[in-house]
Amino acid sequence: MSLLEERKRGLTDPEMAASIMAEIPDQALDTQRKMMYFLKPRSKRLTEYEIMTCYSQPTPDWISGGLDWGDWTQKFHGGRSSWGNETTELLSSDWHVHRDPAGRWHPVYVKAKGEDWRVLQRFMQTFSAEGALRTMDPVWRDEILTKHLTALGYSEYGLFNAHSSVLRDCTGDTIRSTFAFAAFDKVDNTQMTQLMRTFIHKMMPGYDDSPAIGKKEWTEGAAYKSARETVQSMWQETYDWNEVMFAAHMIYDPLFGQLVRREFFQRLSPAYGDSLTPFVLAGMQTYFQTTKAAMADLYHYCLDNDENHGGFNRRWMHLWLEKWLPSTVAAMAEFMSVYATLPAREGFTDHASITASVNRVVDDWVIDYADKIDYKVDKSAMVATILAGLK
Amino acid sequence: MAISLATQAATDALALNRAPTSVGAQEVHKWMQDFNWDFKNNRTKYPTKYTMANDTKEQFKLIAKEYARMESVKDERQFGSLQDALTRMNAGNRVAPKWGETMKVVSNFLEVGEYNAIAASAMLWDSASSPEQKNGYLGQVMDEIRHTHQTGYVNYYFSKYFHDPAGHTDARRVRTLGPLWKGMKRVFADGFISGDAVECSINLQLVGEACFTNPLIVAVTEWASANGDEITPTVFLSIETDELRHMANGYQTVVSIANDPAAAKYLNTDLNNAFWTQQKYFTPVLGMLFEYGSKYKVEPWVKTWNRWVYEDWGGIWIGRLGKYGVQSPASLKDAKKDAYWAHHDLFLLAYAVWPTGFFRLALPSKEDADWFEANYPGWYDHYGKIYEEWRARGCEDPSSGFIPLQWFVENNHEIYIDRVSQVPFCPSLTKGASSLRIHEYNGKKHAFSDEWGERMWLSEPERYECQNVFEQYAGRELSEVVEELWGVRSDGVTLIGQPHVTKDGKLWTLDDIKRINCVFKDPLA
Amino acid sequence: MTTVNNNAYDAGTNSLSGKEFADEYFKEENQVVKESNTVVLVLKKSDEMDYIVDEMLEKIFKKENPSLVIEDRGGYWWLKADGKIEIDCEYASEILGKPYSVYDLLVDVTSTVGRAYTLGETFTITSELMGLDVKLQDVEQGEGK
Repeated sequence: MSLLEERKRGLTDPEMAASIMAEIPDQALDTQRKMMYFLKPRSKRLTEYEIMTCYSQPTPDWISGGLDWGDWTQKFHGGRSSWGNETTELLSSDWHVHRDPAGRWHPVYVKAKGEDWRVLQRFMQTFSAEGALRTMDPVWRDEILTKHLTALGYSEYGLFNAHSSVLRDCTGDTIRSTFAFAAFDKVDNTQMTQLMRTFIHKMMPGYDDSPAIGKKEWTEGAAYKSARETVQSMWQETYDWNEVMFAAHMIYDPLFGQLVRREFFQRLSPAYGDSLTPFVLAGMQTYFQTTKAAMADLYHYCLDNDENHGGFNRRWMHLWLEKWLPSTVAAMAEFMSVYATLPAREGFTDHASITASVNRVVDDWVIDYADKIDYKVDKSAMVATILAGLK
Repeated sequence: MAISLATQAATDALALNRAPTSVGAQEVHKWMQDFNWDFKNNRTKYPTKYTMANDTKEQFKLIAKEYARMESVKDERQFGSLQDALTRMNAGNRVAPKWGETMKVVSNFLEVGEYNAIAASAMLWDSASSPEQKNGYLGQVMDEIRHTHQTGYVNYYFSKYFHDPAGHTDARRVRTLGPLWKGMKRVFADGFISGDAVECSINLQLVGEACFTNPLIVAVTEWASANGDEITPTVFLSIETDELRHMANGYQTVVSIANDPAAAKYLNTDLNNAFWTQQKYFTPVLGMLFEYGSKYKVEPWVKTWNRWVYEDWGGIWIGRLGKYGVQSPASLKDAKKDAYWAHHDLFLLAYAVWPTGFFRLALPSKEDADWFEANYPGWYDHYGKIYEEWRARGCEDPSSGFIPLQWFVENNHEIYIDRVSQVPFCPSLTKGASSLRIHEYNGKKHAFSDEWGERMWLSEPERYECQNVFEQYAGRELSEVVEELWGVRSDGVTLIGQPHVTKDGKLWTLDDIKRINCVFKDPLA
Repeated sequence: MTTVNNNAYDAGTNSLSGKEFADEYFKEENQVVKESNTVVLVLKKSDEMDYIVDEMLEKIFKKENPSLVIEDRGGYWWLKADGKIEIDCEYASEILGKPYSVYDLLVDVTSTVGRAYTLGETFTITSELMGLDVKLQDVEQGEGK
């Protein structure tokens, strides 16, 4: 800049720099240069993710793992604690032991999503230039995406909102960032359902990209009654932050979410000449898998295996399964009615294909979730209940 | 199935526009308000006495993916500078020693504020009903995670390169030792997350962020830069690029309640309480860190305060909202007095209890003293003389057997801690707005330093019950407490805190402290 | 430092020092906030921002709003003006010779005192009470990439 006077800086002004350097001792005053050297690493050595995240939560020692002492300096009206053990039924010997296997701290997380965005924008440029929308079946485009992709967006939006109180109340720092990233992915998913439809509108101005029809489907349609109620219940009726997260990420999303995203939209799109949906949904599935690994670390590796409270925690997780699994299964059964509105495609919309879809979701869930905490499920009964919703 | 719609669309498709196109963030954002739906029990888990409007807008119109892209560009710049040019220049060790010590506190205490703000923004996201407003708070949740990691990174960077890594390496463990910690928690932690959601928003966003982050995160970079520190500007100026969205969130919180009759009743009281709560800690602590923790001075703290807090925040935020009934905070006059004197009051105490710090402090030099007297006429007669006396008694030298806390005891200058703000004060020495009041409640005595905190306590004593350091350690010998709370270096005997930053000065050990036999005493006992 | 421009960093009370400063600062009339029609903008120094400050704000915008003051504060540019400050990122993109969206600008917009917002590719900070006195707008279709 030429127009303004530059201020002197201690690093670059020769006189100031010399004066500063004259005060600096020749030897360091301490040999320990590893930040957080007192923290137990999950693996061999501390990672930057662990250094940046662990013990940033300033909880007192009466919340397991806390390094502070004493009481809270200000409480809620009436005297409720800032953070407290009473906010969840689960117990931990140390709320700081959870680690996100993907080692995500903020820059790692936003870099990945920022890259997804750049790739998606380039993809959209190509997709539109190719006129790739021409191959998309009109009923799929105008009925299914309008109603059901939008409804999926609402389901994701409800899940997203289920994270707000969790992020307020949870008692650990690595836990908090895991939950925050999961939440952010959920609202991103909602926005991506809208983005796809706005994109279609821009290529084909006759297409209405308002979410109004899909919103009606979500709020009034029979296909989403149980899904909606389950999500609402997580969002505003459940106060235990672990219960909310367990219901969302260990039950509802790996079952209903996977059925709708992977088995319905991902698997069926090619049958209707739709190469847009699988591309965008692939991003959502990446987020799902990353979250799944992080939640497994928290609920299976840490809380189910807790040296002092593992058995107790498992009993609670079983109770939560008893509570949330039936409504999730009902949501899946109700969603089956959507298949009947699809133009028939052999190998995609026939009974055998749909049965295989449901089996894949249930199988995965039983192996990856229920078996891990020794929760017994009658798989065939569960599949049959879901398939009973097929019209 | 609406065949006609499908058919119509299919016809349109034939005339499909093949110009390359994509979708911008704001084109998606404009639909955000439609994603809410109403249902029974759709209410917040964190009640507020205000009613927040459903149609409040967000000023920056970000969606998740564009947020991530923007933030990663910020990170590329920040980490690029740190890991490349600044490391090559060994910039992490070309920092004035006093300032490198100051950053142990600034960065770590700010980290606590940022961390708690994650929870605070999440609470507001839960409380708000407008989806755009929720989206704004969500962005803030993410930002606060970023800032927690960034402030942590400043300590991490200095741990690797600064000539005194102790305190940078272990701030998260040793910080609870000193008398500044609990006050920081009140203002930066609990004050953001525990209370009426809107009251918390006023604390965090309208006052904490819109007002005090400017001196804390912006002005601090000018001090850093003058003192050879280019690490802090690189990180803190990038932190602050997120704060403008938070200020907007705070402002939109006010917008969302502007037409609520409850605002007419409660807003001014909540604003005054928040202003006092925030200023009570920020004002003395920042002033102290800047002026007493630097080699090169930028400007008197009171001028920084007068510009950023009084003139600009007061005039542009609070003054402009006057027509909506927002009033000048009743505590402003006392706050202004504090901005002139309270940091000088606090440094006397902070230096007196230096062994409980996780940073090295230094007495004002002759040059510093002249600067203080020129900018705060009357400084020398009140404070300067005391420092001369302490220096003459050898307070920097371990063999002297003297720590200034003894001087307070010898001269009957009792030190109290305010129950509400947790800020220490010495009624017989203060020139700021503090004066002593004591109340007894449920068999326990409580000291207060000002009418504003006293009022908050009198109406809701159950919110302010936290014991202070003097009560916690009463009867315990100082070196024992320092050791127990990890206040020693890796050799196991030398204190992290020291009363000087001189190049060849001797460092104090636990034994030096033990010899003095200083025992914690609760002045209210 | 004594300055003539009311919007300067060291204007008004802050132009005084020592006892004169204290006398003015503690005056009874200065113990309540005074409404201000100004805005403050803090721009982090960077390759792009230095160019925008120089080529757009100092050379062009200042003609439109002569009350604008720009000062160097070490790591950042400090700006103050009456009414509003606006930055058009489509123009910024042209003079920088590369794509530069309003969100690229926000990468280096460090702080604001006033109501700041984006609409399409324009960044505005205004003394107006957005959302109260003036409605916040959304983009039209096709804007706001």
